[in-house]
Amino acid sequence: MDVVQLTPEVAAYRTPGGIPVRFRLEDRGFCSSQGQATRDQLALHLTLGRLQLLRGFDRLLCLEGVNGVEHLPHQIETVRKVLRRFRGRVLLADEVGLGKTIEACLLLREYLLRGLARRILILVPNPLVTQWRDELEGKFGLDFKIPPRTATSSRPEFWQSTDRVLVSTSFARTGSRPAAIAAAPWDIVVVDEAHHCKNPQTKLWQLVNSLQRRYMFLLTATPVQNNLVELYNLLTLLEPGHLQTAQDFKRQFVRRGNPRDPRNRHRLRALLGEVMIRNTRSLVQIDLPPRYAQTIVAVPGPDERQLHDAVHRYLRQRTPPDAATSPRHCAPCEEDAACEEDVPRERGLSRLQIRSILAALGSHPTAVADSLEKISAADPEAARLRQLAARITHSAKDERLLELLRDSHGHRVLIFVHSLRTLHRVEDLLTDAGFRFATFSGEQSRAEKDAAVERFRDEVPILLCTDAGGEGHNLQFADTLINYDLPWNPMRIEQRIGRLHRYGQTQDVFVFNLCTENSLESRILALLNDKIRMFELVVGEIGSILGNLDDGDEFESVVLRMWMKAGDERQLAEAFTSLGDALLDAQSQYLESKELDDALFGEDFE
Amino acid sequence: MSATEVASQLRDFTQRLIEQTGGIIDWPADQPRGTALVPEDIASSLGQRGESFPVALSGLDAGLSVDLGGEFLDAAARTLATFVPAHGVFALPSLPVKKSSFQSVVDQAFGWQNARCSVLQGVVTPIVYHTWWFHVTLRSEDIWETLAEVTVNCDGRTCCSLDGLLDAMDLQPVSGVARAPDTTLEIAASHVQQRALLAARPFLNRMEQRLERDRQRLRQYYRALSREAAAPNRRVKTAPCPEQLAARQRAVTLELQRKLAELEERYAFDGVVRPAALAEFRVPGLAIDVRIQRKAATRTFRLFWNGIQKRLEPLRCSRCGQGAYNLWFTNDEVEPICIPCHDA
Repeated sequence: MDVVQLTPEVAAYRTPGGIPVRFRLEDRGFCSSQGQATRDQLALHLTLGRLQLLRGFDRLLCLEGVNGVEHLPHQIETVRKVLRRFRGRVLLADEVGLGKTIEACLLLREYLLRGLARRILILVPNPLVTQWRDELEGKFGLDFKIPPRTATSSRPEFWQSTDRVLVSTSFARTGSRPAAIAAAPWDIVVVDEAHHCKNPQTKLWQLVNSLQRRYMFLLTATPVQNNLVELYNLLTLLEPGHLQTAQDFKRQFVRRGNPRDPRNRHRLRALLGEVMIRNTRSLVQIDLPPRYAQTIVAVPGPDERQLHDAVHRYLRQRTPPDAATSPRHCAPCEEDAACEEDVPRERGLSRLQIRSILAALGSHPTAVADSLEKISAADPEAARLRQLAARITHSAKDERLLELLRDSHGHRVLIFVHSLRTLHRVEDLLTDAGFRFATFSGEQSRAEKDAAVERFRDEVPILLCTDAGGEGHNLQFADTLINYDLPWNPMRIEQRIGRLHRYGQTQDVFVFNLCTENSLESRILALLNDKIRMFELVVGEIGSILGNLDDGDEFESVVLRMWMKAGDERQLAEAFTSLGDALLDAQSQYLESKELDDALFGEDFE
Repeated sequence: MSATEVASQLRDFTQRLIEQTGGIIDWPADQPRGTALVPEDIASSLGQRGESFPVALSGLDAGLSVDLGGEFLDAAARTLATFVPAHGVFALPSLPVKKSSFQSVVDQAFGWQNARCSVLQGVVTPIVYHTWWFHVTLRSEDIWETLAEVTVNCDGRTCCSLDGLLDAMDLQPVSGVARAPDTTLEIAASHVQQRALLAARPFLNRMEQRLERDRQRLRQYYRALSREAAAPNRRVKTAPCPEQLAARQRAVTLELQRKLAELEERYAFDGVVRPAALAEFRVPGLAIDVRIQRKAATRTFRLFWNGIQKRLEPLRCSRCGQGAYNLWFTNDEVEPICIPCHDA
């Protein structure tokens, strides 16, 4: 080892191969500390030192302190492989529903806990931003900043000073942001639905290629969409030169006249095996029982119908004329919400307020009364509507829910509601009807939640919960799910279903969706159920389909924008038809590439 | 180490931590959870709101979650650094000390290349040693860590091996003024770096091999790109103009340089040496004063007889700071120089 320089604070050496080694002495006030230690106290310091070493290489640290994540063997094995064999640069190409996101989050956590990474950039399609944020925060305890929709996010300083950023691909590649993002060094870059980087001529490919990064995880269930060269382009982002040049690659692996059928298949698979992991259902032996879904439309009574119409009229009157057309190319962020709420609009409501009231209308009249509370102080019309809503104690959905529960004798039923107000209302309803049930909500302590799940498992046939519902608990002993109200985001619907229809479930699963006739929710249900048959899809497929709507907004924003833009019910119906067509296209695209990938990689790629 | 052993170590460490910081803990060995009661400032340092809080190895909503993956070790390190001294002073009561034939002992141990040495006197005296424990980390594409121990003779300022002294049965705590830690910190840190580089050799080799593979892959790739850039376009069947060709090749070369530079940066080793604890040992020994005569100049040095290792400790090279037995001396100042420094 050659000694180049030796000073008290920094010593520099070079390995025989020429890699510089710099040592820093970090005193951290050790020499100025007071007091004299006993032998036991010194031993305590040394034990700490030894425990800190245990954070080292042999154990995965990421598995501890994770909420609501089952440690599936293939996921743990994938994390180990990426850490040891792939050196942090990998294409994670698991089939849908096997937990690519979980694997990536576990890896992020592992790198962070080991101190191997600090600055992380996650690029995801717009519709999946919220899903990612929720998973990162709720399950892995990782806070990520979503860039604000202000000029701040175009400045390099923002990207340099923010250590963990979660950003939509469409936002990141727009304007001067690519240069600002590329100017900052990143320890880890994650790209979800990475097949969108299939073409080196696109801004997204160029952005990812320009990023200074130490480790990179590309996530996609369908790495090849149309032809093999796309795979080459993806892997060149990961490990330039691994598949040599594009011409070399074509010469060796692409069959002339059929770019989808590889030559030298074994050699190609061997090369891919060095940079890509693909778990398949047959490989990891996860096969879920079937699930069945049924939509139950409740016909509202005159009061409820009147409330529905009056609220829609009121919201249309209070929708600012420019609200529907204002551009929304990025995911919601805290700054947005604060901005929208804090800035009073003289003649209208904010998008957030409109969305909140419409969602409440899809839930229960008492939720509507609750959501109108603040506005009604300054708006007599809102106060009148609030009174109207408060008078309706029973909604049409209540009756249908009770019927369903009576018919579900012998089944364990999970009922999901959107808000706490609705939860309390349904609690009263079930108590009055004499049903025995347990309640699980975000406002409970951990012990209360544990007790609720235990009661549900051992004593009562019904668990009533909010969207926080049962996360972190095994609820696979239940087989029936009732969506009392419906989130607008299909990913959230899938999360609800996923509480039961998951690894470990042995019974057929029944899903009942309640909605009021002619409500916005009934349209969404019709779209998801009739057009893309969402409830029959494999877990995870809806994410891939929505990911193909890359230029779109978050799904709920799309719905809200359509509602605001439509002057009447007919226009709204037309807008939903267009959205349905777009979803169908996205689904076809997904299915085509899935077929190609299955043929290409088989079921036994490791 | 199995998960059960780790859990057991964590539990034991937590109990000692709480007790050493003035708290009490009730956590029976057969119970998954326990309760701790600590002074307010300790609770705050551990990230707890109240003086009393639950402790458990896992599954806590609120309280001290004792695990390797969460914040626990960081909070414990913070608490230990603030509230538990990491510098102790101890003495060994008695050791048999050699007192006769100093000259022959000195002549056997040392080689005086260009000077004459005569023993003046030997004095039985406690010799003061600083034993440092350092947490050493090397980060590159991967990470290597160790807890290293090194002992420095506070007067001779050379490193010697006295490992395991903290476990000696007859070690006695000593009250009173200790030697300032910063008198030996740099010597110990420098020594531990050298030792770490030796101990981490397999890790360094692995990283070097990885880097070489990556360099090779990049060079081949860009060389191929460069070749392709120079080739005529088959569709238009015309050779590219020289300016275009040069520009393309320049772009490829620049991109290769950029990628290689990124690679070098990624693989550079960042080492951190952080003191974890320090013990000052007062060990009975012998100080032997010797006079070194070099031409007309003379100088007196003190040599130390290490009663535990039963041998004389080396003299410190005035250039590199390493201990040495085979020495050259300068003419006027009679500065000792080790062979490698002299040859250099």
